[in-house]
Amino acid sequence: MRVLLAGLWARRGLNAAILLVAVTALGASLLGPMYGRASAEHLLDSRVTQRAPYVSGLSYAVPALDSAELPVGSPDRYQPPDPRDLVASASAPLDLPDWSPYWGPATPWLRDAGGQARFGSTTFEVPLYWRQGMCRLATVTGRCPQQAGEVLVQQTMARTLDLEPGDRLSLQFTESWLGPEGEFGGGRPQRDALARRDFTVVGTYKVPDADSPAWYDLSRFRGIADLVPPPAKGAGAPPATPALLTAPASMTSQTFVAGADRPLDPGAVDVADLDRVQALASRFSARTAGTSTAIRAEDLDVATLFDEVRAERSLLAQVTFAALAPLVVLALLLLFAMVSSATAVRRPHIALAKLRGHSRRQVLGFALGEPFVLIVLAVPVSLGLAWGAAAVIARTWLTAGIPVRPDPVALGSLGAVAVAALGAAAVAALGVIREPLATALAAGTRPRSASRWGLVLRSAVVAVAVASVASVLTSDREDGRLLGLLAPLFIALAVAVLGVWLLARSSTLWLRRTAGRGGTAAYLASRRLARRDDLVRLMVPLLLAVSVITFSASAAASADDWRVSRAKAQVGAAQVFTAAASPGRLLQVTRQVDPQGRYVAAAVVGDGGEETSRTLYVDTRRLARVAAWDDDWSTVPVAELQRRLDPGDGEPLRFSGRRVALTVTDVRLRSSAEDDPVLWLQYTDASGEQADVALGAVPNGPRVSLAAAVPGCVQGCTLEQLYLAGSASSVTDEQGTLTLARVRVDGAPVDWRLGETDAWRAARPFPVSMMDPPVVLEPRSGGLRVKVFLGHLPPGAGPQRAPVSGFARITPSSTPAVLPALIARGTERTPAPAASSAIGLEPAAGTRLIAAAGVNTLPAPLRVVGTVDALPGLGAEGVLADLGASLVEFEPTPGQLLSTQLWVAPDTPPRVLDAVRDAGVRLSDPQRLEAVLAGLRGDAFSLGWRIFLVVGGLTLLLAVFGVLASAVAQTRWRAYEVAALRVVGLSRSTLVRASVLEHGVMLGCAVLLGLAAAYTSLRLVLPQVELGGADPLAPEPTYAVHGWILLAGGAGVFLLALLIALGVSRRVVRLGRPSTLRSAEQG
Amino acid sequence: MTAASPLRAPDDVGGAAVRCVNVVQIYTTAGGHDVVALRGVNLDIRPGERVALLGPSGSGKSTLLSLFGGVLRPSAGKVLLDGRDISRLPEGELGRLRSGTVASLLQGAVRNLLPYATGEENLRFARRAVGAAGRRRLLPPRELLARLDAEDLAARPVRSMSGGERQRVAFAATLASGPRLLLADEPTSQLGHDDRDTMIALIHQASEEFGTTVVLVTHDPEVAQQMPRSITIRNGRIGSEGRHGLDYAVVDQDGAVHLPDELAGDFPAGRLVAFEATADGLLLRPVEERGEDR
Repeated sequence: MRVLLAGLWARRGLNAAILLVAVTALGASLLGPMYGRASAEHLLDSRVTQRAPYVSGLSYAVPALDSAELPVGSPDRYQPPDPRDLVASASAPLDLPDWSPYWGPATPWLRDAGGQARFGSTTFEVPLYWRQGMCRLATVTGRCPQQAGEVLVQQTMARTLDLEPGDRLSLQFTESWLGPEGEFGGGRPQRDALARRDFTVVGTYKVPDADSPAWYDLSRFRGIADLVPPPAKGAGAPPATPALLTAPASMTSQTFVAGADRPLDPGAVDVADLDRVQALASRFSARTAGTSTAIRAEDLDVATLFDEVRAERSLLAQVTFAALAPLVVLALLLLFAMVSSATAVRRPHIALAKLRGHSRRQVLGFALGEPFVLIVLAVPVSLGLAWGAAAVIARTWLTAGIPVRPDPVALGSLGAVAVAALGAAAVAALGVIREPLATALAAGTRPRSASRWGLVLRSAVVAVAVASVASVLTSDREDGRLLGLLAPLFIALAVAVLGVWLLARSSTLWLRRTAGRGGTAAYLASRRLARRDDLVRLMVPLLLAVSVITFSASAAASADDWRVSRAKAQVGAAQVFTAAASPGRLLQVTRQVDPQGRYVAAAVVGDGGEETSRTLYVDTRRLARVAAWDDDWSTVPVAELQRRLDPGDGEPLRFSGRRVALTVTDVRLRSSAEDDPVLWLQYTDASGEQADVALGAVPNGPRVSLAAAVPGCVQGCTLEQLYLAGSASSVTDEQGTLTLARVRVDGAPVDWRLGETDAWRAARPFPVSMMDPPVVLEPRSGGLRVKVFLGHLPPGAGPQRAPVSGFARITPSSTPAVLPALIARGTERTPAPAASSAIGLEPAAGTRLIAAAGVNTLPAPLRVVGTVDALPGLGAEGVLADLGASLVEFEPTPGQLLSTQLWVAPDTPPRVLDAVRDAGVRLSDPQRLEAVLAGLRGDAFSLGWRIFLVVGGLTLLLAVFGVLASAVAQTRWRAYEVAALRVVGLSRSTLVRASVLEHGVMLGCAVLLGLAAAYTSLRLVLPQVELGGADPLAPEPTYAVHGWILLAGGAGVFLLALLIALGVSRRVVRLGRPSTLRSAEQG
Repeated sequence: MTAASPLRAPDDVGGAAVRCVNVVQIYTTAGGHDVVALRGVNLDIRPGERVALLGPSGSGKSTLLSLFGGVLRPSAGKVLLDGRDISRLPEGELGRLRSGTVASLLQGAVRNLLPYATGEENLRFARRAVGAAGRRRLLPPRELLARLDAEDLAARPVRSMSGGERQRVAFAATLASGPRLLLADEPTSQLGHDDRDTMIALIHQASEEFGTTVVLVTHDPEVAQQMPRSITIRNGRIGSEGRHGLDYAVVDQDGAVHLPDELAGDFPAGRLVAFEATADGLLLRPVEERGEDR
């Protein structure tokens, strides 16, 4: 043992290097599974936290009155149960010890959804709610209800209804009972009656954190912010107000329910517990399915949640494994090289052991003792370091408090790599151990020729690389995920094998050249490289590391670019608010508060459908500044796209005043309707709101004077349309002509260009098709003659013979007839139909129109001015056009499923948003691009790619260290060689130049070939590798090579390698004195 | 050696006999050329004999030493140790042979030692292959070092020793396993006069005290003269032998005799000679080629 320790100390530098490399290999083998486990725990916690608590929590509820137990004869015979007793009944099924470790303590609650109140013309459901600790969770103004009949009213509701503490609020509850038996020959009929109950307002409340899991199920509150119901989990829910928070004593009706919740405690559930927790949840569901009321069985869906976690965990494990594999492989290669170097140094000692007649076992023990001790020593060291590193990484990247500890998988991985390390060390030493004694005793070493096994191994590496690439290219992405992630390593190894062969052969050619002519330095460098395969093999670790780091950096950059692209496609801008205002109003407000268009833009998003029904109408003049545009979506700059989207600068017709009068002449209309048609005026007022006023009925006759008040136009209005409709704005089938002769505003004549050619055109939507207007305009000196074809269209090729009805609309020509539009590449275009009537509008030659949904979801013709990979707020499918121009003809209808949004650019001053709010536009909580991006960056793929990058850096560090250590290990014989060359008269500078040149060529080749391997992987493998999980409408990733990463990485590594070469060369030449020869001779 | 206690147990005292029968050794150079190192060597060394092998570089003397030590196997012929042919022994048997019977002292002291270990540790390392029972019969390392006047080197690392000290420890390490045949390759080559004489004295003492057979290779005629028997190897053959200060030619298996160096110049290759028996022996007379032919 003392000899062993003395030997370890004697070669402490080399042994420290071996220890470090072994620690790296073993540490990586531990870190991977430990990080994977911690990440899986993080994902589990995140997914549980992200979902509503009722998805994973246990809830049980019992009604105060079973429908089968209605009171008989009179509602007064109903005796409400004590709410506390009912709560105890609801809590009982949850009180099972098996579930205690995983689910938190039960929180009781009471809810009565039976109360109703009428506000305005609408009857609302007004739920009563009590939850243990509710006044602590909510922000309460006033006091917490303590007695029966006391309530807290939600703050906005109180403001809307002008309720203050002390006010009384009446609700009506339905009371049911069973009538007398046999009244109509059957059983007892159910009778219902309304009973009024009064409540006293004792304060208001506000829910400061609507996402807090402490509320368990927010739908029990119904409307949180307003009297507008939030999206219900079920369909058909009646409009409901926010709940009134009350005391348990208030629960006296037949309809109240008592329940208790036990949310899943993410901190108590480990990944290892998933199956057990899932089984317990299933057991709970099965046990309570028939007994619990007022809970939705579909809510508790632990299986789906956990399946997602399992899938992410599996994915993360594969990514982590693939990320750490190169590091482990490199570390094992370096370990092999280091142990080989150490064994070469010990070669005479091993020969001495044989000379002294040591048995084979003793020789093996003597030769392998040192590396094995180092590897065994590396186990606890690596365990400590990996544990620490995993803890640091977990603290930095993962949820706080995630447990980090080595599990059986990690220990198994450690064992496997330890065995591999011992194997590598044994193989490295075996060559010397098996050497014949006579050869071992010889003074010099003769480079060993390649063994058959080495050749087989190298061929196998190349074959595996080729096979893996072929498999990755031909297999399904998900099936070949692990192989795809490992393929870059195989490629790098294959390139390394080929590179070593190539460099050796090239060096031979170089040697022939330098032997004949060329400098001494070049000759010496080429001679060494040509004759020493072991030197050439030094390039392998560096090549591997350069390939891994540049591939992983570029791939991680591509993955993050994609995440950014997905976030932009999902959100649309840095911040997006849902605005409680009409699109026209919001458009007007944004233009007022931000006239330069730097900060905000109005948008209407319809992202619920497919293809061209996914529409984004936005103030396109602000697109480039405000929208979150990703340059990868198009090769055309966004500024140019914005220019193409501009609908044009046609001057709209504007007017100011209180009353508009219109003279209509020569009215000759016929219709199946009895009433005269009505002429309507559509305009936008000063606030941006659209308005329609009926100018009056238009009977047939030579002259009709129409007039109407135009509210909101004193400050100026914009004329949008004039249209003929039936009475009460119903559709009409009028057929005939009329002439719009003159217009007066407040009695003064105004020029609406009724006599000008092309000043007006038919306005969409047309009743038959997008291309067949029901109106033909003929400007004349006496006014604008309007031919109306609402009964049937003039003969043509299409369905115009069929009876038609609708509105006959005209609009000033300043309204663009066809809007320019951007279309996402994944969108299947629906060509606009051809005109089919004699008056149909044909698009200009070469113009391709598509049909998309307008802002009112009616078909609108659009002219495609560009195709992009994705659109902000929509993703890979959909159409983008200008909002302002769209509103003239396709004004939104109330209740349609479109979202009116305020898009906000990054770094927008708060005053801009305040100005929007001050203008009366109510804004929701924003969806933030950064938050969405942070969410995407927290998924399993992201966590995996991050470790890929870190490991790439470690691989590079290890490789540089390996090159340095190997170079230092060669110092002894190199110094001997240098000394010999100096004896024959070579100068120190020549020898330094030769050494630097030799290293420079070798390491330069390593860097170049490493970059080539990375480039090959990026081109061939990366497009086949999943970069993340995304919905089908997410933009496709751009598999860019990121040339700057390759160049910067390669140049940096090469410079570093050159510095090492220079340092080592100078040291070797300094040590290579003639006295070195004498020392060497003396041993 | 200052004490009279034996290196091994009394019943184990005695040297090994070495016999070479027509030993031929051919090796292949790095360039792929075959070189004949020994050309049919026949040699008998008696137990306890001390023999110096002399000869120019490349004559085959170190090769012969390697054959005795079981480091090399002869291409042809036999090497017998105490009558046992070691030429075809398996490696394990050879290892056992080297662990006790035969010990080699390589040229260059450090090649015989672990430089990072102390003198005593080196001795223990050298006898590690000897079984526990065998080790009990050997002198303890420190005692052996004391016998060689190297007790002060027991606890010192080899690195810190001078050349002579290293050689002394190396010699002690070689003796540590109690060998019956000591093979020493140039044991005095890197030593000064004093250290050289000390080393020779130690060799003599070890042989005299334990009866160990000693074969050493040297270039140094002075060292050779201090050996009772010296054998000169020339061109892979035994050229001559010196015994007690007198040189003798050796008749080999084919009846060939190497001329002494001082006569070789008078008898260039191809020169005809005639043998004439005289009362004192045999007369070698050059023949005048033309006259005699007539």
